[in-house]
Amino acid sequence: MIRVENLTKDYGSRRAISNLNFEAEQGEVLGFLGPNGAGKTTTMRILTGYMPPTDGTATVAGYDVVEESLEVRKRVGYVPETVPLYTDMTAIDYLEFMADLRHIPNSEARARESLKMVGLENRAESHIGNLSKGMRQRVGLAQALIHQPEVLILDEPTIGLDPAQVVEVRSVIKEIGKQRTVLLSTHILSEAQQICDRVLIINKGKIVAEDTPENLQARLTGSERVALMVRGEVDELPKLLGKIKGVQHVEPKPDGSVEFQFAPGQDVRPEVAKTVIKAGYDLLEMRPVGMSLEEIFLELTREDKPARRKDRGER
Amino acid sequence: MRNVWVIARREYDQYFSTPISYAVAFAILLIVGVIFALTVYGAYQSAFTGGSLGGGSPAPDVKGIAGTFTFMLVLSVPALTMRLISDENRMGTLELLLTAPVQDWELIVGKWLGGLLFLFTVLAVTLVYPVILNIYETSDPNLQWQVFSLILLCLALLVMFWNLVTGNRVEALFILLGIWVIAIVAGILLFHFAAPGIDWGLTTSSYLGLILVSASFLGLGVGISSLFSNQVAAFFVTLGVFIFLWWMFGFISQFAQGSAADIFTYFDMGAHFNNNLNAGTINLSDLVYYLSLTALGLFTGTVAVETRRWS
Repeated sequence: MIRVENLTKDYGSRRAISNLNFEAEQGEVLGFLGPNGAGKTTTMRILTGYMPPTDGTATVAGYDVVEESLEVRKRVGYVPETVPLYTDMTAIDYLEFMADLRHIPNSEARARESLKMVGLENRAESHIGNLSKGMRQRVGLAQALIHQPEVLILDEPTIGLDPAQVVEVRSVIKEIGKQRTVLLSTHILSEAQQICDRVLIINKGKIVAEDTPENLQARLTGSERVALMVRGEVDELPKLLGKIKGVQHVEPKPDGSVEFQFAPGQDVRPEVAKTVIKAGYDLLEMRPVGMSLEEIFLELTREDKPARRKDRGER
Repeated sequence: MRNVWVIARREYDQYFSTPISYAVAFAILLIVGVIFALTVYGAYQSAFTGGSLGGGSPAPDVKGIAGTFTFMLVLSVPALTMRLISDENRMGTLELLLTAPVQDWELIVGKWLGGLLFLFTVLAVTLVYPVILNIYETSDPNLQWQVFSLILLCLALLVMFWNLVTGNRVEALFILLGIWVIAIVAGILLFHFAAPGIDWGLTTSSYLGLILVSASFLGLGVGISSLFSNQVAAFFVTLGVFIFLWWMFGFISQFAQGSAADIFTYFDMGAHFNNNLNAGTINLSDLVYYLSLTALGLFTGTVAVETRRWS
């Protein structure tokens, strides 16, 4: 559905994105992660036909974004970062206008249908200026859905929403992602974890990682981490754990727990539990600690890259 | 082409929700109204001092009204067009329009057409003056026709006002234009029934001129405003260009000699209107002049929007 090859964009002498390559298939939700200024919006603007690339090609639904821009634009629904709304229009008028621009017959019915999809059917006659930020975001989404596009491109779709609205918008996106291709950018990594089938991490215009959220985690951690919680003081516990074969990097944490690691395939947890109980501690909790996507993100996008993880060389 | 109409319709609606367009309409109608009142008052006085009406004293015509209207256009069109692109840019909706399946020229022409429809609405209101002048200049026998057309006028204004209030603005425009066509036809009939009446030939030519001047000012305004992201800059540059085109070329041509003078005279936007269209003659060269100015403005606008994509 989306195919990007060697995509490069320069703003004057500044290179915003350089040699991007990626693909997205139908029915896939692709997450675009990266710090501010990484080139996410630029990439999306090229894919939606807003601006041409300096070099490289991109096709959306089989059409070239430069040569067949209009065909691409017919098939893409797009919500830019600042949701483009005419605040002096009512929600329904705005959507009708967009439906008319896309030559949709019976535009009013479709506009209402689209509003219903985002759960705003009872605010159809409200002026957009009087809607809350979350509602505006959803009107923007309704605009992008109005022509039932094959590809949906969303730039930071949940930014500035309250938690309940975030959940709503995410579920709408997830629902849409079942049949259509969705490309969304976000800062919020748990969001990517929740709704994306695949994640692209982009930094300074280059793709630094591309995988499913789970694989990314597994690939970067390299070993399994476990947090251990006992009743009372920890005092001797680290020393005790250090003696068990296979246990590495024992580390007391400020919250009163103790974390340790072991190599995958050598599960030391039963041994640890026995030892702890034998030593007279009340074992309260033992849970795996994944490296969160946040950590992965920071790790991959750090300015100075110390060889903190031993598997860094793999990439 | 359909997109042009969709954009024009939204743009036309937009004019009725921005205070500046009401201010512009008010200013134009107020000044034109004052000039009309003075014209009639002057004719009325000379009728008393100089004998019977239509004999000896100059009969009032639409020249004064049309001239005033163009003067107001020079000053007010920059205010109408300055926000066209910068507002879209500010609200982020330019990105929406440029990623919708709309050609760049359709966007520009749509915005121009929306503005033109708005000016047509204002212009349509001023058509009341020639009709009143006609009544003023026509003798009694056909008074029922006059009363009929006046009632028609009032109805038109009422319907238009009602539609404006309820939001059916495009419908309002069409109802108004439709009723005006009837009124003009009625007026032309009156001209035959009750001589002398008003000179409808001159009136038609003047209003055609006003339409052409409005179209070219708006075209240039749209073009210039799409070059600027700042409204104030767009306003002043547009105003400067209009003043230059409307007055300065004529001024310069007085000092030029030979073919240079001819060239300056040809580029004098005011001369085409004041010397020809508002004097009752319709020349092909005037039509070509105004239409090519319009095209130049719209072309500039399209190129400017395309350039934005590349920057």
